[in-house]
Amino acid sequence: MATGWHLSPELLGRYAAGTLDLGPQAAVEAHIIVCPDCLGLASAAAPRDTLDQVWQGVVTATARPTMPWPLRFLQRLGLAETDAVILRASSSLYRPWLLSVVGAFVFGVAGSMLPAAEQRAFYLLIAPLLPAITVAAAYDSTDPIRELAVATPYSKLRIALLRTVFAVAVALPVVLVGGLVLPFVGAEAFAWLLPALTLTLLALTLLTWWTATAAAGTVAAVWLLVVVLLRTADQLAAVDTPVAQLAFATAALLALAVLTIRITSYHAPGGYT
Amino acid sequence: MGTPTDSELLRDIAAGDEAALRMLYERHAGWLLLRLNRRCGNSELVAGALQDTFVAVWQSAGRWRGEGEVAAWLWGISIRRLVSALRGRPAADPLGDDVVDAASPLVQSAEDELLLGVEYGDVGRALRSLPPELRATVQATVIDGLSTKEAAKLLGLPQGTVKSRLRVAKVRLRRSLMPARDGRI
Amino acid sequence: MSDRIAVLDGVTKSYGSAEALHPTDLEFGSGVIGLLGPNGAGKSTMLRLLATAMPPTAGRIVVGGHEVTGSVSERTAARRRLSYLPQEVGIPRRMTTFAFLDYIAVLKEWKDREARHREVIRVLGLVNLEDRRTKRVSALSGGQRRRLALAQALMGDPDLIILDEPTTGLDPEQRASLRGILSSYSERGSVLLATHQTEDVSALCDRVIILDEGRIRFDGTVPDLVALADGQVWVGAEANSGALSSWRTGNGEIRSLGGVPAPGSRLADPAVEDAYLLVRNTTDADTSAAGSTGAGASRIGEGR
Ligand SMILES: [Zn+2]
Repeated sequence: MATGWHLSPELLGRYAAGTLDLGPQAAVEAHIIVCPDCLGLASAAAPRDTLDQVWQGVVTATARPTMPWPLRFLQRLGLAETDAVILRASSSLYRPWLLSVVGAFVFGVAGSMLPAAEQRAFYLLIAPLLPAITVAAAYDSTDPIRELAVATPYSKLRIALLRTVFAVAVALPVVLVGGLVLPFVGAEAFAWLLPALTLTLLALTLLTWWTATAAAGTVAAVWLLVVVLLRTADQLAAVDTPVAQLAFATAALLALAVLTIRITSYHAPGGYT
Repeated sequence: MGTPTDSELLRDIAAGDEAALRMLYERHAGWLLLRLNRRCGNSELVAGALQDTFVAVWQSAGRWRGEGEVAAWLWGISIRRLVSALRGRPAADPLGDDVVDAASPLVQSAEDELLLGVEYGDVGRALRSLPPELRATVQATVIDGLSTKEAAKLLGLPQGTVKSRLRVAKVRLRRSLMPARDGRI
Repeated sequence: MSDRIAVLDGVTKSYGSAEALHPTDLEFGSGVIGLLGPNGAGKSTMLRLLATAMPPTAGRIVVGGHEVTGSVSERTAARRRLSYLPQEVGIPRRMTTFAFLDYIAVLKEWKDREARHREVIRVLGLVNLEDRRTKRVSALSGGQRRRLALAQALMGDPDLIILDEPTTGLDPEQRASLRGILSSYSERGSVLLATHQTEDVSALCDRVIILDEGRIRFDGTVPDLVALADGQVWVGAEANSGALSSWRTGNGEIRSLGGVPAPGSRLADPAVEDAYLLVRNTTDADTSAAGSTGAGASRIGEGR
């Protein structure tokens, strides 16, 4: 090591070319480890193009962010990688989750504290709203890069649908499980599904005009009015009747039609043109 | 501000400094590439192992214990990445034991120390006196610091064969190196 | 490359009764086109219209042969041909630089992951942010954020690059490197940039358009623009009386634009800025007085 022995260019050349016998080769390798000068010479003797290529790989591999686990899970179920990138980019990704979980918790606690007569009305009020508001919450955060995103060719409708599906996929199980588990929920455990669909579509349609806050607020107010009216008339069970369900289905179809017109003519939810 | 040392670079990399990684790459990737090329003829596998090495360094520079040569540590990671690639499947855990193990010293026993502690010309002569299959075994275990299990994968041999060849090789090496050592110290 | 990369045909934009852009006809070919004008002149409005970020009140806009003002599919086709850097981009702070560009690349229809990531790394290198690739936006400086926003506009191979004040927040070195990048693009397509910096225009632009109050005041080459100020710039011991602007230069002399030449002063070579001020003031009588204070008056800044 401290012998003053160093790699000659000739020896290094033969090492790089792979024409050295194993003995000298081992000596070269052992020396490189301990001698920074010869280490530098050896590094300079390596093919530059290969090194550049490998470096590009290193740069990409170290920069690539990992997908959050819910998205990795969805990818395993068939979600396209590009769609996962879109969902990851919405900083609102965690908001629907948070909203649903907190919402369900508050709902469970508050619901069980209410007098029995009000519990059904309470469930009927909250359950259909949760998906609609979750969807609206998923939109607000598109704003920061909206100006930029709008000038790209990617379908804004697809972005909207991705966010919607994701938000609903999060909110739906929470409410469903809540409905089945909570002791004060009876026949309404499923009766709210159609109203939920209607309110979600209504929220989406309003989102093509308004901000998320305004759209969510309006939907919530409308539904609150409906539930209060039903409760005052003591007609809560009416929600579960075929007539009422048909009415919800009709309203949902209507909202869908308006939404389709809005999207094809001018706007997608979230204010994209 | 002078040129940072390897350990300073590793400290910066552990703190998330991309420029430090680039500097470490500029310094070490070249000789690692040459040396990997001496171990495996498949340039794609070699490039992959080299890339994995620096990705592993980025993710786990903080696990370097600050003992010994950084160069030796890097080689330890590289050769194990190459072994993983040869195995035909990536290491299950990208930050697996490889990185930690790689910090284990290059020289493992008194015999091995003897081997590397002498003049290089003597090692060369001693190695040359071995038949090729024994030389390859010595290279993989003593010089590259692989376990017999890893060496078996690199060489495509059963573990038992590697062990027995290594035993024979060490006996022979000691015999041919002893006189040289006595004369020197 | 077609001579007509983008076309504005009778385009107007109004907000209620306020006209942000008066009826405008323009054609853009390849090269770098500079858009000069004070704040509120309609520069951003024109750029946003071309970038399809908002629809015009009236008129027709065509980009890369596709009608922006047409159907959704035509607009989408036009968007495939352009890239856009808005004046302000609020990049989510929690995103890393790489993740942000990766997202925009997906929006720009880069489907293959490997190719997309290569492109992201390429543009990160172009704006000198490769060594910040794992950092969150919140950890970046203002200039770095601006460069990150710029990087997304350099992705792919667009026909039309629309940049709203790309050089704000960049240091001189970065500005020079941006000029290099843009001039290499201009051989293939059209780069349209709004700027306050007359130096950018003289260094980079093949064509200058001066906008004021939603109207085009000048449209021509840089030499044509500078020629407007021929015989109007004087240097001497005293300021010209009635000068549009005057200030003390580095060597202690006073440089005046327009007005009656002071005794002993001599003619000097005009710069883009002189011509810009002239164009602005010949059509804008009310602002000309403001600039013509006496000797030692500070240099007229950008816009109002
Ligand atoms: Zn040396």
